[in-house]
Amino acid sequence: MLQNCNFVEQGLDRARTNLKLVDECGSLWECVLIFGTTPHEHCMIGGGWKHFVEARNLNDGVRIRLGVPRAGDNDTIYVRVYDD
Amino acid sequence: MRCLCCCVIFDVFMSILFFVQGAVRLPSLFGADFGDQITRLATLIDAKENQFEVLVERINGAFFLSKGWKALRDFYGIRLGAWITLVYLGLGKFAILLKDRFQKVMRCPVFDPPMCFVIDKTNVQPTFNNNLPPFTANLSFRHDGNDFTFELPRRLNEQDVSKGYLVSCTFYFYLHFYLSAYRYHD
Repeated sequence: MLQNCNFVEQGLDRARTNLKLVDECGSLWECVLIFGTTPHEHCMIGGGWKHFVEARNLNDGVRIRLGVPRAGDNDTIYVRVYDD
Repeated sequence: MRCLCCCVIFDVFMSILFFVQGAVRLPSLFGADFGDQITRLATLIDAKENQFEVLVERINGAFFLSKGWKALRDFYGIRLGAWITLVYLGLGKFAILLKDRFQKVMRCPVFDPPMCFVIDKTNVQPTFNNNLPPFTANLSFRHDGNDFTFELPRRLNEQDVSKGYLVSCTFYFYLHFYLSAYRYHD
């Protein structure tokens, strides 16, 4: 749970609106980053995320892992999909 | 004058191993004939106009399709392997046709507009690297999990898949969540 907090709080900047998502195939998806406060503080990754889900044939229950290489304002986040 | 629209057709059988390694070798005859036309990026186009951008590497005069190639696997749902027919159209473009192990043509997913795969070009040099080692295991692109400072492991829920965005809660939400759970227990 602590990891989750760290990821958004320290890996992403609140002023950022665009984000590149790179999957383990090397494909790049241009995403939109939205921070919201209602009904609770949250962060949404949209835009290219939709295409990513469609292109990779992802269903609910799939295990993924997002990662950022360093603390601070990252413009690229990396995602890995696990087959299980 | 060289005719650019000549077609070169060849079949490659893709076992699951090729997708694990993430690189596929083009026949050497092809490299000999069209090597001077091949640039760093190739585009694969299927029957429904879906496009895949793929990085090309050259090792000892042989051409390999590397980064971006793995995207075909999940897109077509290839499990055990498939035949892929590549038709060279010139200017780094290939038309592709996929058949399963029993030579039955596989269905192309249809998207409107067609799906366009773009590869991440950070750390990609514009010219061929002539000092690549002569084995393909290192060609494949992979994330090293140890490189990440912060990670977010999660399981996708129904909303993440259907709504078109991934929602991640921030620290304050969890704080709020814990506090409310705590109050509830009192």
